[in-house]
Amino acid sequence: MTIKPVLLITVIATFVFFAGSHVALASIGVRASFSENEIVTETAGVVKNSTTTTKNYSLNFQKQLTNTLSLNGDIRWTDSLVNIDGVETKTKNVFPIFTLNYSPPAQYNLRLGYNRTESAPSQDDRITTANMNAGFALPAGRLPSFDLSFNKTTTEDHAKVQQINGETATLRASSSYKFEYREVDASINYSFSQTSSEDFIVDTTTETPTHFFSTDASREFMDGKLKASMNYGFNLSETTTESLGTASRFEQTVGPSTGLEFGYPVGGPTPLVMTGEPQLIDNDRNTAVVPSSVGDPTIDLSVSNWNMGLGFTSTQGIHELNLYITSALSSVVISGYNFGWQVYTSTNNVSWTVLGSSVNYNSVFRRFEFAFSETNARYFKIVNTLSPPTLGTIEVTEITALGFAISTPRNSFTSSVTRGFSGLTLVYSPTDRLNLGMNITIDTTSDERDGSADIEIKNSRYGLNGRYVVIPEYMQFASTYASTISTPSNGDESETNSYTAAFSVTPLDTVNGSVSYLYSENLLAGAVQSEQNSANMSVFMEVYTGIDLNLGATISSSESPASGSETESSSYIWGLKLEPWKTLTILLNGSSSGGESTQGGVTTTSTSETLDMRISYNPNRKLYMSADFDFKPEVSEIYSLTWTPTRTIQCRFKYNSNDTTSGFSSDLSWRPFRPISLHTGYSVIWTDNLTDDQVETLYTRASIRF
Amino acid sequence: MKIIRSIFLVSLVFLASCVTPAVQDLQTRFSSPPSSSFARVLVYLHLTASSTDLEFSITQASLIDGEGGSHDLLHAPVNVSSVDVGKSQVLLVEGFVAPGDYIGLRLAFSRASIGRGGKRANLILPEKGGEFEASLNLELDGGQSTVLSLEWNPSASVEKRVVFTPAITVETQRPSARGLLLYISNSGSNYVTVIDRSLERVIGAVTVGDGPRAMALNKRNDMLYVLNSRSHSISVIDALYLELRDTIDLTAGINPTDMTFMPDEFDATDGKLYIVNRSSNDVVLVDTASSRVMKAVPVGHRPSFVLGDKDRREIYVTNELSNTLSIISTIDDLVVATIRVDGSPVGLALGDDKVYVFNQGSNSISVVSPSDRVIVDTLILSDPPSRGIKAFNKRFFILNTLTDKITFFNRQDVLTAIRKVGDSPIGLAADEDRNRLYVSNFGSNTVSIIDPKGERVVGELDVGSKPYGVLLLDNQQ
Repeated sequence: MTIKPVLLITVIATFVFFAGSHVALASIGVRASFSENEIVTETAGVVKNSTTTTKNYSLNFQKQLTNTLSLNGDIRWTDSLVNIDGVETKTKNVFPIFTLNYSPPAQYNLRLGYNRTESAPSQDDRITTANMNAGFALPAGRLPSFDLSFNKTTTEDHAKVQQINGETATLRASSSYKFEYREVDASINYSFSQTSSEDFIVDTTTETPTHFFSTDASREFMDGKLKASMNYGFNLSETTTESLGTASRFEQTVGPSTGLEFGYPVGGPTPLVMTGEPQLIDNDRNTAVVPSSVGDPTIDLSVSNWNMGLGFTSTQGIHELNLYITSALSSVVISGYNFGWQVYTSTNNVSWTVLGSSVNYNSVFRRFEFAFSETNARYFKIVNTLSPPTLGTIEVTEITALGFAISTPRNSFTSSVTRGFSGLTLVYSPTDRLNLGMNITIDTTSDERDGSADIEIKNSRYGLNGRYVVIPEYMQFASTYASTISTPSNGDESETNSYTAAFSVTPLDTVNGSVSYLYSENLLAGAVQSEQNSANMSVFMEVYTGIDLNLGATISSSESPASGSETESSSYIWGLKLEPWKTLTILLNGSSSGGESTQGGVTTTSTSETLDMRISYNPNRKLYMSADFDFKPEVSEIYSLTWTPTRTIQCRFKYNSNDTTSGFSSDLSWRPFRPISLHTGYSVIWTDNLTDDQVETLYTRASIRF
Repeated sequence: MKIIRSIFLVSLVFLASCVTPAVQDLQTRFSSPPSSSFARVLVYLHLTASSTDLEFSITQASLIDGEGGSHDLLHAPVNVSSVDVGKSQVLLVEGFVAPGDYIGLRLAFSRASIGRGGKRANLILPEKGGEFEASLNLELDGGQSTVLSLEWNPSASVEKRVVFTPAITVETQRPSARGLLLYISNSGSNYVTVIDRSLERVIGAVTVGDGPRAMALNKRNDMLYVLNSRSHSISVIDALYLELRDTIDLTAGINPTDMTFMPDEFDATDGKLYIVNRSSNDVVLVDTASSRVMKAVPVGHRPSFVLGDKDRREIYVTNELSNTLSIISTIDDLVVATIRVDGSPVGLALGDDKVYVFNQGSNSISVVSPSDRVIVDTLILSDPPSRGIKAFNKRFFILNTLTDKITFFNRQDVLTAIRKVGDSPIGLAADEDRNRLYVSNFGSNTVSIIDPKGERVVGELDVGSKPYGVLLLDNQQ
């Protein structure tokens, strides 16, 4: 744990106070807060206790560097301690944030920001998150608007074996221009963005450049009675992901850094420093090696205890050694000899360890092949502990080693989505009482992905609406039609149509009513899948001052030829508001509904009722009490009280109960002085079950600021 | 990529150096204090129940300090009518004074009259040159905003039928009980307005950063987060005491416009804020525990609105130019789906396990199933929808910002009524306990109070400049 928040704050504060010629600070603030939250849970007689204690400190300042440039700093740090049944977890976080603000006299804005978080859990490795941002904005005026922004977030843990190490950067540029040409209000918009993500752990990179263009225009005709507007947009987004493919393992010759040799007098596991012998690894498999350790003309295997080996610059995984020879003897003779082969490994070319191996003579390549399980070592050697009868020379020319290599190819996957959309809206209002509207939207998307068939989807939506005020302020009629058609290249066309009509009247200021009708249908490949009909009537009346009544009725039916089901239902609602005084409000709401549905010749019926009441009472602005009762379908009740006895104290109490649980909570906050705030609360929830489970929560918070 | 980054950085420096400060800053279009060290004082006036028809003109409003010094709040005369004030509370004065302790409020009247039987009669002004003084105990810090609530009883304001004796009491800012509070962010200024919903009056103001727009509430600790679009920051307000507790600097994103809060499902008090940046086409995440930017998630073009589903642990973002809905999983904070909708989606609502996308450009609402990631229905409107909410027994209420209207739907999502509200309605919230909808009118600096079942506008309140967000605290939270 290397975080030194106090030191950090001191350094920054010193810089702020004394940097530059202008020592004066615009503002500096210090805050500290403490909170403790304790939860005691009792389930089936087992009590569990968890406590969370958090301390927060912060220092912020604003340094006015010039008239237009300011440096904002905000340094915060937190200490938290979580204790769950005696097991403690501590976490410390430090969050320095610095922002360079340019508050221009001109109409543009420039911001540079950097914040960094060092999070240090007590039982885990430190995690660093850094966020860097830059932005420039030139709002629209006579010239097009122009926005540029850059954002980069990096996250990295500090574990020995990293699990998090990634970076995401996004660059965006956009421009918009509004203008008027021949009574047409128009705008043109273009933007480009590029998001790059890199995960350094799994070595994956994703890049998504996106281009977007849109334009819209609107114009009024016939002295504003006809308004037309249209828009068109185009979006091209291409995502390329590069990642490591499936790893494959294959055998390959591992190039040694040195050949090693030592003459026959000594062999075996005895400590032995072998002599460098470049001829053993010179890739010349025709010329016998002339040993440098002894005076023999060549390494002749008719003499025992030759030490022949090779070394690498670093530890290598090796599973086979090949010893190449040249001899006039036939391969049958050579393979029939017992050379007493031994294979050894060493990490230092001094101490050698014997390795179990098998040997085979390959007459095609004229080599002995020594196979063993893959072994990691820097030095390998072969010793012929026995010598065959002297019938001719068997001279060594080369030694090679084989290991395994892992190859991980990079996979690249590209997908592109191209989208074009357009819309047209017409609104015609020949008089103040008549309003007709029409809109059309066509939206086409083409999705192309590597290794998949291209998909194109076309969505078309049409809407019509009309509203006629029969008698101004008293009576109006409104109707709408909406249709959505979706045509995918890889499936059937689907369609949804709906029609509504509503007639509403307001015969008095205190009375209004409406009757409405709704029909909708869903089609797939031209065949009706389902239909719905619904009719509604509602009335509102202010019966007397402080007494409002509303009534409503709905009947509806639906039919689904596709599933062979039919449903008919009706529902009624009513509501009563009583406000005998301005300080007391009583709301009563009720509903009843019934339905009958038939599917597969089986008919089922259902009914339901609801009834609830809300009472709110505030004799003065310091006290507010409310009660909520649900009588149907289930019984529940909630009582709440908020009270402000003085300017510096607030209290809250709440009790709620239903069939299975009940709870109580209270809350008290006190602000004895302006910089200080104290807050404490308690809540308990009881569960009505065999074991009488309950959860208690107690919390305390205190904060001070200057 | 490195080459592009280098070009970008060079371009950035070049552009910053060559653009001359020829165009005046947008911020100067809005009213601002003479200095950031001044305190803002908002003087509101409301009536006790009265049928007396009185009118008067105020020529001076000032605070009195402990040494008797007068500090002007008002710079132009204001005419007041008890008939108008009787309809709803009005904002009398917005002024700025130096920080310090103040012990009184002085009002100077130049004219007063009473209406009787269809005629008006002038009244004799108070003694001391038509001045009225009320004592108070007000401690103001630099940059602070506060509300002085004047309660006027016109019935007790006339003595001997001819003498104007203003019966006005002054109350300094104090919080109401939690379940009564309603917050309005004033995007044309740098403070949020606090309304008591039972009184239907402004009772407080809290200074935040420049251009406050979206708001989000952490219900677990009653911290209100206010997104300041011009100062690129988030103000953290203690929602109970109407006090600024902290400011989070947004180090990423350009032109932040909207925000939502997603509580951490494992932690007792904190979570993440998701902020939509209209110009940089991304959603920036802020961890409320550490108050720092965690990452920026690229979404579509010109993201316009954001909403979170706490049960599904998903965030929905409308992209106005791309005509798409981006769905972000809050578990790994990645875009998990992009759904193509109709023209210019600018708003969202949740309900009935559906996501409703308001397509302002095509006068339609796309109904999206978040489970199947497809559009399951399309609703057609006569006016372009911008914002909306499902409330009061699953009914739909839609704001038409471009046509200054609110559209009412029944439970079958069929349009039943359209009503006019203030100019450019942009934000709304539902009070289920009291049958009330609150709508902020961006263009007329007011909040409309609506009876949702009666489908009618029942009141209007003056708030700050360009009100945007509306957020309420209720007793059930």
